[in-house]
Parts: sequence; C-alpha cells; structure tokens
Amino acid sequence: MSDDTDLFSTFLLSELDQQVHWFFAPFMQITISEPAALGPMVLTRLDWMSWRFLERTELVEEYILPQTDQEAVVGIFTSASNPSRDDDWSEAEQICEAATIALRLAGDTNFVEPRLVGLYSKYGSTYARRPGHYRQDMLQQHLQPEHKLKPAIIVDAHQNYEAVQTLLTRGTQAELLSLELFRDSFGPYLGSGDRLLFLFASLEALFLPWRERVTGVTLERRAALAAALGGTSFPATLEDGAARKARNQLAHGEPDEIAFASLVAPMQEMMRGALRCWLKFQNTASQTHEPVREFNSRLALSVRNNEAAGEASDRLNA
Amino acid sequence: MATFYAHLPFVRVAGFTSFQLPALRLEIAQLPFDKWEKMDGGFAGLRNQESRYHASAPVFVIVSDAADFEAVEKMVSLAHLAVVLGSAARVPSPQLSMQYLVSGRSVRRSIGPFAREVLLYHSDTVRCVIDELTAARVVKMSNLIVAATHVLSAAEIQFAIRSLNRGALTGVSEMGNVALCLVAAEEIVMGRITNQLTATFSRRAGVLMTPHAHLREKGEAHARDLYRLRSCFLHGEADAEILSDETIISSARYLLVRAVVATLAAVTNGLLSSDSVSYFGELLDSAANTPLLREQLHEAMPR
Repeated sequence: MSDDTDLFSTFLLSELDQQVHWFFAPFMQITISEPAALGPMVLTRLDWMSWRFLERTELVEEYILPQTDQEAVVGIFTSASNPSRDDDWSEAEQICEAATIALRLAGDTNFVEPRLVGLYSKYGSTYARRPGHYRQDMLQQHLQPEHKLKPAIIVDAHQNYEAVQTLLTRGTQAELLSLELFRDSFGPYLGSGDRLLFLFASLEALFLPWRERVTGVTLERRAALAAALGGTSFPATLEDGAARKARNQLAHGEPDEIAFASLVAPMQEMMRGALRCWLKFQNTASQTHEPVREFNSRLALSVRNNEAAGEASDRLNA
Repeated sequence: MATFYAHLPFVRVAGFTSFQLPALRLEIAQLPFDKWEKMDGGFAGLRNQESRYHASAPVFVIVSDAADFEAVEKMVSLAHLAVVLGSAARVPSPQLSMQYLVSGRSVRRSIGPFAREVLLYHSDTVRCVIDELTAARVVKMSNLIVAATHVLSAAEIQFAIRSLNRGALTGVSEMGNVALCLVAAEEIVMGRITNQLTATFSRRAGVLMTPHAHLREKGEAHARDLYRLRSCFLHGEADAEILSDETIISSARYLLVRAVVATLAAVTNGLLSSDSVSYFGELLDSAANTPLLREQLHEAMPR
C-alpha cells in the first residue's frame, strides 16, 4: 500500500474500493505534512466531512462543532478482519497496537493512541466502529492537532513496524513484559508516580533484578549501553543510585509527585532506546532459551571489554 | 432537596434492580431510561439512545438529600470502594463518567473523561456483575468502611485505594494493574521488613488466603507464587511459568483487596489499634502461628 499514498492526499471515502474492508485508526493530537506509510497503514489527514461519515453518530451533533477546517490524522489500512459480518476486529486491532508501539519507540510520545479513541471500518456502504472508552473526550479535546509528526519519526516507525509486530504476535509474556509496561507509562490520567512505577518495572523486566550483577556488571551499565545502542542515553539524574532510590520509594508507597514528575520523560526516553536495542536483538540474534538473560549477558560482556558501539552492536546481534 | 446520581462504569446488577447501603445512606440501582432522559434530555433524546441505554443497563450510585456536593462525592467514593472491595473487579471511579445533581428542574452535570461513552456505547464490556451474593458482600464492605473511616487515611491504605483505582483505568494493561496491586499489597503486608522477604511475605499473605490453620501450607504456597509474580514485575525475573499462570495473575488484585479488608477488619475488631496500621504485618505473623487469632481475623472480615 505504500505505493498508493497519493491516493489519500485528497481523501474521499467514495473512492475507496467497495469490495475491500477498510479500517481507520485515529491518531489524535498530531498532524502530518504529507501521507506516509506506517507498516500496512497509510497515515493521512482526514477531513471533517469524511470524519462525519465514519463517526455517523449523535456524537457529531452533540460534541464536535462542525468546523470545516478541522481534520485528524488517521491510519488507513485493509485487513482480513470482518467487523460487519462477525464483529471480528482482532487483526485490525493488532495492526493498530503495533503501529502505536512503533511510533512510541520512534520517539513521538505525545499522540493519543487509537485504542483509546476507537477503530472504524468501511465495507462498501457499510460502516462499523469499535469505540474506545475515551472517544468522546478525546474527539472533543484533540481533533485540532497540537504538533506535527516529524517525517523522520514516521520513517523510523515504519522500518521497525515488522519487528514490533513479530514480537507482539510471537513473544512470550516474559519477552513482552517490558514493552507492555513501557506503553502503560503513557496512559492518560496517571500520576507521575504511576508512570515511573511502570517504567522502573519495565526497566527491571528488561535488565533483570537490580541486585543481580551479570558477570559483575550492574543494571545501570547494561541499561546505559543498551540505551546508547538504541540511540538514547541513561539519564544523568538517575545515576549514582538515584534511580534505585526513586524506585525503592515507589515500591514502598512513598510517592513524591513533584520529584517524580521530572524523572518520567528521561526514563521514558532511556527505555525507548533500550527497547529499540532489545527489539533489534530479538529480531536478529539467534533464538535462545532465555532471551532476556542472553541479552544481558552479551551487554555485560561488551561493557566489561569496554567495546566500542559498533563492536557491542555486532556482539549483541550476532 | 437534591438527589445525586453517579454512574458506576462497567457495572451491572443481576436478579434485582437496586439495593441499599444503609451505612452510607445511599442506594445502588439500575436506573430506568425515563429517569436518565430527564437528567440528560439533550443527549438522551437523540436517535437510538434508548436502545443503547437498555443494552448497557447502566448502574448508578444514588444519594438522596444531597445538600453538600463535597460530602456527597465522598459518600459516592466510599460506595465505589465498597463495590471494589466486595468484587475485586476493575471498576473505575464514578468521577470518570457522568454524575448528575438534580434539584427540582435544575440539573448540574459533571462530565468525566468517559463522558457518556461508557454509559451508552460499551454494553459488551462488563467488569462487575452484582448479583445477590455480591450485593450482600458490598453492603458488608460499606458497613466495614464506615466503621473504619479513620483508618482509610493511613498511608498504606491510601496507597492501596489509589492503586486499585489506577489499575482500573483504561490504558493500563492487565500487567500494569498487577504491578500496581502487588506493590501496594506488599506495602501493607511487609511494613518495614527488609530481609527474608519471600518467606515473610508467604507466611503473612498466606494468612489472608485461608482461615484454616490446617491449610496453612496451601495458603502460603499460593502467596509464594504471588511473590514470584511480584518479582517478575518488579525485579525482571522472567519466570515463564508464573507469567503464564492466569490464576496467579488474576489473584493479584484479590490479594490487595483482602489485605485492605483484613486491615480495616482488624482495627474495627480491636485486633489492631488504628494508629498501628503499619504493624499489620506483625499481626499476620502472630495469626500465622496462632490458629485462634487466624480464625478471629477471618471472622472479622466480611465474606
């Protein structure tokens, strides 16, 4: 579908093939300058009139003032899911999930996930929808975009989409835990303490218990190397035991929202890099019995040998 | 006098349409469409709303004689807590959905982040069915909550309630919910203990699992599995066996509920003083080794 991106630049629902199930996943709070591929999706802007057709409910009259210049970014894709026949949305939802995580890992942290708003489908003249719990709230608040998604981020997300999709469909719970908790840290209506709790849980799920040294190498040093290989860094504010102290405060119910608030963004950025590194390892390294442990063993060896980034990357993904 | 209606998201009642929580002087009821229509006429009058409303059969906390808005909100939050403690279900706070204060013809609406979405459009998502048995438990929980109101402000209990509420939010995965619940449960059960963690947690939480001393080993084994699960979440111990055990995963929230209920029950029954909530773990230690105390604690806990 990536060759067809121009089709949607002047988007008209009636031009879509009537014999295919089309899906529309709104990504709120963002806009884009031109249509772009993200996995099997084409991200494009949806104009207000088209949106009315998709939403086709009282919400349009009740909640969203019909301003003709409004538009939203949607991912448009086809899928084997057939909601109009058997209310089956599973494959379409998986595609949305993988696209969401790929975008988060690419570095855009400020969009609203489609699953919170809803998923829409069109087959011929039949429309169906699977609304998210925050649909009304999100549609009212975020239909007008707040920032432009950088093309480089979409390209990066597109390149990682397959790897994310593969991990989501084939990974064991232990292999998915860190990724899932990372995603939870972006949820709406959470406090800084909650976000940080998810991030620390995600950190330890990926780098093993804090107390455990892997061939003598601490969690901080392994995490720092993985983050660097994934294009981010271990935040200076969390060095010298500060991270572990904050995590212990959280684990023992001592939320300090003000102090924690400043740690959330750097932790998300560090985990973003670390998870990118993990994703690449998952995708390229030979399958092992305990991939999380193997990942850490290879990182630890590179740290101990003081290897340069290229060498460490080769070892990790051999 | 005004009446306050607060929607309980994802809750249904079965076998009856309403029941009272006398201790909180309020009612939990499935509200007929015509009543909701009067409160939310502009929205309810739009097409297809009546059939949607009937399909989702929304349940409300209803407070009559609602003079003071703040006091009413507090009563509603206690009713919500009673439902959560009585069901262990992931029921989000009513503040996230629709609330109405009705006085004569005047209606003041409080629109939460769900707006009318969950109230109308999610009839297929039911997280808590209040049947007769559950209703009876919710009533008992509300009695306990009122009797132990002064304990609710204890740091450990506040943290637990907050975790139960955050774990019920849309956008938090089941795994995230489990992580929140296990951290909060550990806080109540372990207090200041810093060594022999697994053994201590298993012994103490094991008491919450069964009233019968002769089943002690079984209770402790279950608690030990939960601690292994906690280690998976908080210490990255990728224990594939535990992480794939749905029974253990689903009991994490139940453990936190039991820990909260046991703490409140211990205080109201004189087994623990209200300023000693942080010593609840020591009480569990004693109960682990004293069958009579174990029985007393369980008898004090509403079932």
